[in-house]
Amino acid sequence: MKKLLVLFLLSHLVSCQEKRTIRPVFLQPEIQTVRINQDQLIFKVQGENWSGLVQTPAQTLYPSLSYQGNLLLVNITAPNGVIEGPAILTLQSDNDTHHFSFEIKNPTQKVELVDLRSPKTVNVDSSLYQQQILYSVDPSGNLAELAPGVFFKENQLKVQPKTGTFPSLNGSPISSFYVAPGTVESIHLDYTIDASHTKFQIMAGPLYDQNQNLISDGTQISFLIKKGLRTERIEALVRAGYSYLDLSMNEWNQAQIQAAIAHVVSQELKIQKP
Amino acid sequence: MTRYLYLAFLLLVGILLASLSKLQVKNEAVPYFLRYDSLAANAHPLIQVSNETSVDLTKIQLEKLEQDYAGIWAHLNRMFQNSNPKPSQEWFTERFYSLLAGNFQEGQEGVIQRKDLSHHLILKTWSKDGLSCNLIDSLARFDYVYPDGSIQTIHQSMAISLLFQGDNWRLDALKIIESQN
Repeated sequence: MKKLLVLFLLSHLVSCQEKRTIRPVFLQPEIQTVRINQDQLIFKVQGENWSGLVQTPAQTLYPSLSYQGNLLLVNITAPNGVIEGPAILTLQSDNDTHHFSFEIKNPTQKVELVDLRSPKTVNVDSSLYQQQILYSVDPSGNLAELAPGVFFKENQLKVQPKTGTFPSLNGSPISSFYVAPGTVESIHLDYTIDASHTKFQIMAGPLYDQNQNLISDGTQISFLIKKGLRTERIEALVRAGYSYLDLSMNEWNQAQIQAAIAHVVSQELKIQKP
Repeated sequence: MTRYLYLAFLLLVGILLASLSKLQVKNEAVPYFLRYDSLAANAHPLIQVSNETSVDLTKIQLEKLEQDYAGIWAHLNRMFQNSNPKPSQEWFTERFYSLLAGNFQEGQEGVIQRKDLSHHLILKTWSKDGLSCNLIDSLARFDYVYPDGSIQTIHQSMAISLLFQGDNWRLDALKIIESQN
């Protein structure tokens, strides 16, 4: 009777204990670094009710798990790769949680050079010097060394005084820079008479800056027209290095014209009927 | 008769209003300037800054950098336990965000918590337009808190590239150079 009681108590004690799974055994202890989308981790486990997640430096990932007998196969995938560094794989079964630490890496990838320019727009009238900042990034957002131990470089570049939009070293739009034309150096004025002999056609141009670039489209030009005691000022815009103004021949015969852009003023031009 | 016409008119107006309300698209996204980011607001790691760039920085620029750097890490710590980058969108450049978004999968949260305790920022480059900053975070200190309450402290040295976009500094790229217990 006593033995039966002891047996009953023992069986009761055992039945009250929480079921604990045995810690999965990592079968590749030599692996310190895991390459995603490439390496497979193998664990010896009990049961087939495991779930897993990998906490990487920048994001939690969910590996695919499969079973071969009592082996659990873990494949870590990330379509865009990962930020490389220390990672922790957590395997869970019922209430049991087990952690495994390793270094996570991407398969070898090509790096892209980022070339940032400041200022992005250089005006030839001011400084032609531009700050260049360089760094390299792989397609997963990891910085790569430019030289051993060097991740960033800074240069001061002298830009050629030729206007236009220029791609930088890597050719990406974000790295492009612009050289804008400066102020006009001198204004050349001339005129023609239209075919019907009713109008003077005044032409200012070609308008160049000090580096022989055509000045910016949309630059405002003022024509000052004098005839006797009458003086008029007419505003116009520059396009493709020229600006035009039509004046009535009857009204403005023998008038004197000057053109001005900012502080630069042309010589006086006298217009008269042929 | 007039009464029926009046009722029919009211019915038509009712149908019109109901159909208009259905057509309205509810935009639940709060404007950027009205958002309160509790994660970033409550992030106060110890940050020390050394300027090795060719540009003299003002106190305001440095404070903004420190504040945003703490915000970036608060969100990186959230992402350490989570796969969804959407709530952290404002702290990453479009390029970095799209990389994280491409890896997003629904799933349970990571059980290990990461806290950043301190950073020592050595500024390497600062663009003259104030839109790019590259730095080395030497000896950043992190605590990894496990579900059983145990804590593992890790010291990391990192290269970080930030771009100023929108209203704050955003993470564009990083490299964990060294990680030590």
